[in-house]
This record gives sequence, C-alpha cells and structure tokens, in this order.
Amino acid sequence: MSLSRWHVGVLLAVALVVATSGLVYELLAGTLASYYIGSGVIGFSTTIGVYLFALGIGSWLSRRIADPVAPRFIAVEWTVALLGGAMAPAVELAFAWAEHAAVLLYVLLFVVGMLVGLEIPLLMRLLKHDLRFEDVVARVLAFDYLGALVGALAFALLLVPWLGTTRTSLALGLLNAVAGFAALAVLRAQLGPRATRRLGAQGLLVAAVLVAGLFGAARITRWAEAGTYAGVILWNERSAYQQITVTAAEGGVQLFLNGQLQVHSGDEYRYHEALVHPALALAHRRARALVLGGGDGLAVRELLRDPAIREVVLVELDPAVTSLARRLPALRELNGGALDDPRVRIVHDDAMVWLEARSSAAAPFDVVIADFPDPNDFATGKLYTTRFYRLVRRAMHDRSVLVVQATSPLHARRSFWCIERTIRDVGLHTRPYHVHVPSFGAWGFVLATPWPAPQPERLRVGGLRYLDEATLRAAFVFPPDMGPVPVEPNRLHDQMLVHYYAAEWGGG
Amino acid sequence: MIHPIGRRAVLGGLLGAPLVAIGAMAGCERVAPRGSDRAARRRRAHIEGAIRGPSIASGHALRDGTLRQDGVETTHRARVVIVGAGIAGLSAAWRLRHGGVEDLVLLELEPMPGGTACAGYDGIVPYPWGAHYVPAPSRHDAELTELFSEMGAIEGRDDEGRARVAEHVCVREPAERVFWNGFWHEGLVPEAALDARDREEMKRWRAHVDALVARRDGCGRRAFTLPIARCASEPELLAWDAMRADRWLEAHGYRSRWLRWLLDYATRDDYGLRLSQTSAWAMLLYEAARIDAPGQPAPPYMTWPQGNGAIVEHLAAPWGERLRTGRLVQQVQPRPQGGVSVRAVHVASGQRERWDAEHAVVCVPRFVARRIVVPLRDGPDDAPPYGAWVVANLHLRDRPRGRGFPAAWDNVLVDADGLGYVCATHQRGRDHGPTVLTYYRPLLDDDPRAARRWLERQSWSALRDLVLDELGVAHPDLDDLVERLDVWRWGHAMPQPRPGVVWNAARRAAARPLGAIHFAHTDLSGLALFEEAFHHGLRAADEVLDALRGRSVAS
Repeated sequence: MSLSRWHVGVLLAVALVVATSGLVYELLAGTLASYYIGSGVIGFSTTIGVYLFALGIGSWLSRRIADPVAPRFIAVEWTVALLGGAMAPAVELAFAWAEHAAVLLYVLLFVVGMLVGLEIPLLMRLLKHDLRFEDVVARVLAFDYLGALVGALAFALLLVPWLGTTRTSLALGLLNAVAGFAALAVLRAQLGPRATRRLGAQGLLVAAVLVAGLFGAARITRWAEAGTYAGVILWNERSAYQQITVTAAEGGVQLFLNGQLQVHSGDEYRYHEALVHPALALAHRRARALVLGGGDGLAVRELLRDPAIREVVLVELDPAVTSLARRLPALRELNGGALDDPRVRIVHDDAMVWLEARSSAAAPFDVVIADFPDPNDFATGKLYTTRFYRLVRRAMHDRSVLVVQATSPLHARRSFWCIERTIRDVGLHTRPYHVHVPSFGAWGFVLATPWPAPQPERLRVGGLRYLDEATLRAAFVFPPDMGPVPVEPNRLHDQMLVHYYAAEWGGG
Repeated sequence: MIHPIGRRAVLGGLLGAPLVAIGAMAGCERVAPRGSDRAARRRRAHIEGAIRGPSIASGHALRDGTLRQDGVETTHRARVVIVGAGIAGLSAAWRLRHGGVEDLVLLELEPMPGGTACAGYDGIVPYPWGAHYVPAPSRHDAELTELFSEMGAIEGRDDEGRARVAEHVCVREPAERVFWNGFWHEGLVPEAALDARDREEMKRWRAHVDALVARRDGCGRRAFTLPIARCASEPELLAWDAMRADRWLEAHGYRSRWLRWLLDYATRDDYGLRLSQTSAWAMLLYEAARIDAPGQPAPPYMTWPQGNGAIVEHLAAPWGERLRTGRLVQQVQPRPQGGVSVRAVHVASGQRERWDAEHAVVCVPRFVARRIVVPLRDGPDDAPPYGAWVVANLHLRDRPRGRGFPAAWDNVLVDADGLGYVCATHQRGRDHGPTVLTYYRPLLDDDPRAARRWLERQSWSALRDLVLDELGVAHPDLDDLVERLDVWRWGHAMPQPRPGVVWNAARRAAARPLGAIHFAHTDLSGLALFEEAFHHGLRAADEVLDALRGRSVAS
C-alpha cells in the first residue's frame, strides 16, 4: 500500500509539527520548573536531561511496537496531544493547590518525552516502503530539526508573550491533534474504514477537550496563582518570605510580591516622588533617613536625589528583594543602582523586630519612610499598629518626619483612615494626602510629625516628573468620596485594619 | 491509661487499615506498621533533644534518704527564709520587700527560679516551660494590678476603671486558631462546624455565666472570684464542688458538642482534667471569676515570648545572691527559743547550710512540705491530687505549613489529647523563619499516679514521637523543620480540682501558719491559677509582716 508524493509530503509536515510541539513541551517544562524551583539553571538543565532521556527510551521502545504501525502512530499522536496540551495547566494548578507538584511536572514531561520519542521512529517506519532508507532518515530528521528551530523561536517570540504558558500548552496540544488528523487522512486507506472512524472519534474527543481548555484558560489561569500575570515573566522566585515576580508587559516592567502589584515602571515615579518628597519638604534636617520596607530601592533613589541626605538605612525583610533590585537589569535600571550607593546601609530584618531591638540611645532619624505592602494579612498588619508607630516614634526626634504609604483612600477608604487614625493615636500630628497613580488608582499617604507641622509647600528637589508645588498643594485636598470616615485604630491585639482591608479589597 | 497507645490504635484503625489489609494478604501483618515507624524514625533522625525536668532525682533522693551530704554545715541568719522560689515564694518576697523586709533569702531546688512558670533561654527567642499567660487582673485586684504596672505591662486604667494592658503584652491578633477536618479555623471553635443548637446553647451558656458573675451571697461576696478565698460559700455552691462538671452540664441541659468541647478544652488547659474529672465549681470559677460584671467581656490575656517566665524575671530581679538556687531544703523546724531553723543542702557540692530566721514561708507543694516541715510529718496526708504534664519545646528552622487560617499564638487541635502549641515568636512580631513552639499535654488518667509512673518510664524518643505524631497531622512538613525537641516531664505539675478537692476543710487548715512557719502555694487552693499563687504569697507575707510589726510594737 504505497503513498503518493503528496501523502509523503503531508507525513513530513507531520514530522515538522511533531518536532515543533515536542520542543515547545520541553521548553514549557523548563520554564515552569524554573518558576517554581526558582532557578533557571536547575529548571532547564533538569528538564532537558529528563526529556532527552525520555526521547531515547521512547525510540528504544519503538522496536517493541508491532505492525500495523499506522493506528498505533495515530493513537500516540492523540496521547501526546492530550498530555502535552494539558501539561502546563495541570502543573500550574498542581503548584497552586497541591504539594509535590514538581513530581507531576517531571512525570508528565517523562511520559510526553517517551511518546514524542516514539513518534519519529514510527513515522520512519510508515515511510519506509515509499522512500529509500537514506531518504527516510535524511528527510525525517531534517524536518525534525527544522521543527525544533521553529518551536524554539515561536516559543520565545510568539507563544509565551502572546498566549502565556497555559494557552501555549493547550494550543500546541491542539496543533498535535491537527497533525494527527492530517496523518489520519493520509493513512485512512491503510487503516480501513472502521479503524479510521474509531480513531477519528478519539481525535475529536481529544480536540474537544483541548478547545474547551483553551476557552477555559482564563479561568484555569485565575485558579493557578502563578498564572495571574499578564506579561512575560522575567523572574519568578519563591523566597523564604514570599513569591517574587517580575514581568514585562505594556512596554514596562512590573514587580509583584505574592501576586500583588508593587511597582509598575510606567508610573512608579508618581508613587515614589509622592512618597518621599513631601516628607523631605517638611523635614528640618535631612541628613539621616530610615526606609522601612521598600527593598526595591525606588524610595531610596528618590531620597538620594536630595544632596542633604548623608545616610540612608534600609530595613527590608527579604534579602531576595534587595538582591533582585541590585541584580536584575530591569529593576536596577529603574532604581539607578541606588542600593549600591555608599550612603546606603541595608539591614535584613522585620522592621518591627528591628525597631524594638534598636537601642533607644542610637541616633534618631530625620526622615522615616514606611513603604510596606498593603495590610492584607496579620503579619503585614502589625506594621501599621499603634505599637509599631510608637516604636517608630522612638527612632525619631522632635523634628523628624514620618511618611506612611496608606493604600487607596478611594477603594479602601476605611483602611486609609484607619492608618491615619492609628498614627494620630500615638500622639503624632498627621497630614494625609493622595495622588493618582494609574496602575494603582487614587493612592494615599500619611505624613506624621511630633509637632503640628504646616502643610509642606516648597519642594527641596527640583525637576521632578510628577510632583511640583501646585500638584503638592492639591494632594492635600480630599474630595468628599475620599474624606475621613469613623474608624477604630489598628492595635496589635485587635487588628481592625486587616479586617477593614479584607472587606474593602476582598469584596472587589 | 496509656494515652499514646490508645491514640495510636485509633490512628492505625483509620490510616493504617489499607496497609494492614495488604500486609495480611501477604501473610506478614506486622511488616507494614513497623515499616512506617522506621520511615518516621528516619525522618526524625536529625532531631536533637533531651528530656528536661525538675530535679526528680534529688527529690527522690530526699524521699529515699540517699542524698549525698558530706560537707560541713555552715550557719546563716536572715529575718525571713522563703522555701521555694515559684510564683508563690517570689510573690511573698515581693510583698515583704514592699513591706520593708529585705533581709530574707529564697532557697530554691532548681537551677532557676519560677517553678512551673520557668522558661528556657537557649533558643532564638526565650520560650516557656510551663505557664505562659495571665488574664489581665480584674478591677478589684489592686495588688496584681500594681505588680503588672511595675513591669510596664499595665499602663493605667481606662474610663471604667479596668487595667489598660500595654499593647506589646496583650496577645497579638490572631490569638487562636483551631485545627479541625484538615484545616485551621479562626478562634477556638470552627465557626463552620456550629449548628443552630450549638449557637443557641452557647448563647444560653453566656447568659448563665453572666448570672453567676452577678450572684452574691448575704454578705455581698461574689459567688466566683479570685482569689477563691474571697468567694461566697453557700451550700448550693459548695455542692457544685462535689459534683462532676459534665454531670452539672447534663443537669442544666447543655448537650452541644462544641460547647462541651470548649469547656473540656478549658478544664484541660487550666486544670489538666477532662470535664468528667473536674469539679463543677472549678469549671464555673474558670468561666465566671475573671469577668468584672455581667455583659462584660473576659479580660484580655497578657503574654510574653517566655510566658510567665517574664513575671519570674521581674520578681527575681531584686534578690541577686539572696535567691539561692540548687538548694534542697530538708528540714524546717521551729526553734525552742522562738523562730525557725531551715536546713538545706547544696545539691551540687553536698555543702550543708543552716538558716536561723524569725519566720519561714514554705512555698513548695504540700507533698513536699509534709516531708520537710517537722511538725507536719506525723499529720494526715492533706496533699491534693497532682496532675502530670508533658511540655515540649520544638526548635524549628522555619514555619510549618498548614492549610487554612494563618498561624496564631495559640494553635489548638480538636482531635488530639494534647492542647496544641503556642508560638514564642508570635508576641515578638517575628513572623518568618526560625521559631520555638511549646507543646502542652496534660496526662488525663483517672489515676494521676499511674500517669506519673507512665511518664517516668518514657524515653526521649518515645515522647518525641508522641509530640510529632500529634502535631504532624496538622503540619505534614514538621518532622523536617524541627531541629531540636526538648521534653519536660512534669510529674507533679499542678494540684487538680477534682470533685471535693477545693472546698475541703483540709485545704483551709493547711494554709494556717504553725507558729513562725507560714505556707503559700496553689496546693492550698487545690487549683493552679497564677492569681492563687500570687495571693497566697501575699497572704503569707502579710502574716509575717503583721507578726514582725506586732513584735516590734511589743518590744
């Protein structure tokens, strides 16, 4: 039963598709492993090793596959389509919801690799009656390697940027299924009508599952924590404290901590200028500054613009954040290498524990900047309590200035005013203000001073991109929908703020 | 009586069943369970640790008369000798110092003061070895309020006259979580588990407790207050002391599983007893005594990383060399010419000391007092029953994972014999990285002596497995994270308020001084509450101060 030239061409195209999708599965597994293991070297080297080994096992096992080859080849195609297509969503869900998900990743990778390893030898056997042996090997392997190039380029340039890992996986599964249908069409004469119908039905079922997966991909992504990012993931690591993710999208770079957007390079200057410069404007002395949180180095960058600053102490819990801020080009470019400035000293500790252990005889700070993530759990909420602000006050002198990032007075109105009330409760005078940061929306801060300070008017640093004196004046005006609301202060034993915050952001 | 075996049998029944079935088919029933034990041993092989505990050996040597004591006896003088530097003894010293008596010594057997409120200082954070919190004192407890104000734990009073607890001492939110059905839940009872009947009974129970808070006798004394010496003693109340707590609940129509679970947890936590073993009066005391007035909330808990060890540090601080640790007191005897002589031996050196004093305050458990106080030796056995406890400190390199509500200060497991664990770094605000967890487990045998015998026989690895098996249900990665696990065997952890123990004539009689020998200890109340130890210490100190004043007036 010989094949026409046209049929041979189709089968060679199938070889190309098989190779393309095979390489994409391998790269997907490498990417996923790197995200979750937190090391690209380990992630890629282990997946490549496992995958190539599995290919070898598959090729070796192919000799055990008896004739007729055609129906078995089609069946292998369906299985690869299904398992390869489901690989990323299954692994992402498993990482989000189960333990030892890495095991699932490597098992799936091994099985897919073995099946892909079967495909090329089987294809060669399908073609052996119609081509000379030298031609079979030459052509099939040529298409195989060409497919690898196509897969690698498409993965990096098209698939992940446009589709993300979940959809890439499903789409390639579907492509595998299409190749299976092409092979089925070409081989239907060999298979006979019954087998063709049966295999066709199986193929439709597999394709239906994959198409359903593609439509449900958004939901799968929502289910899987790691899939929440819109852009290309530049960095994803699980530090001892949190999940740190850096993505590139919309022409900018984003930093996420535990899935919460912290920095968007497109408008972070608005946030950080507003965080730092009003406090500098109010400060009597500006020699010693303390930054609590803010390991991205962006608040430090703003401080260092002021020539009066002689010393900055940065207290950041997570060494992985400061290390990334210093190392990752995208972030380093953003903070201008601020963390390597000789005026900056970095301490890795919990800000509350550090403040408590700090000797009350140590020199006080002129400016204190509290730039913590939003209070969405008790561990962060403690950094917004009366106890915490009392400890901060101990690190200040009578003319120091404190500024606190205080979430959105529009979306989390009670949370914002709760922070303001809490600071007031420890005897500090507060001056709340807000600015517009497109990535975050209306965003609020609280200036606090031991003396009844006037509203800051004159900026110490000129040439800011966002903040000028008119903008600064406007920042202290609260429209009615963001104005004060009655709230309880946030205390260590009664963290009202965490409850307000959960109610306000959790519901939306 | 042997808890761990009972529990293991149940666990085996649930989890091991398929394995056992497979094993039985293969004709080797014992292989599967032993294999899993071996796996656990391997997982735990890296864990260091030791058995710690009060100086059982020297205590028994005293009992058996085999103590080494070959040194020359030296004679010393002090106005007052306090025997035992637990909370009662330290409180007596505190009161005496405030009353102008500084010429006193405290003789303590252990290397550190504190008794069952002692703490450990060799971890990344200090941690408790026993009592680890105190409810904020009530409005009426001026003395305790004064002590905590001295410590900076109370900062004045609020508008209603209640003590204002310093923020860093007030248990930080989240205070408690409970493990049930594979998940941690907020609070002590999983809200999701309650049905309409549970809620109805809990509401009724709160109203009932409020009524007990309001109840007064003819002289205006509260039915339930602390110290218990100030409680009303009406016949109905005393009858409740003779009654089992579970029977009392039954008689008052309380059947809700979860209400009973809460109350049973409370009696296990405070008294080391199940409801069926506790006096109904003692259970009601726990619920009602600390509430100022009907409708008021229970007072907040005060805690420190090292638990009540922080109070011990404060109370012990003024005494320096006058607090003599490692001293085993063998004899407290009235002197014919007046006053008391106290004989002790320094356990480490065998050196003997005799202290001649005007007064002695004996602040040791009654079963010890009966051996060392000479006039008590031939009296009746008036010691209360004592509960045995296992307390373990787990030093972890990182926080264990658990599903559901995040880590709290107190972490309780519903389906466990132990009380769960408290986290020493919680109050410090350190929420990541290494920590110390303190695990508590009262031995709930009906016969406390059997529990003590069982405890004495346990090896460190058996107790390690007991703790890790129980907590591992909630934290699958615990074995891997624990670096050190020390276990404290408390043979006589606390007097037990079983029915008839508290309102017993022997308790009252035991508190009365014998000439210049005074007594202070929670044994004299029959329940081991901090407030009782403190007030017994104060009462005994006041007896001494009155006597000293009387004498100086007379001369």
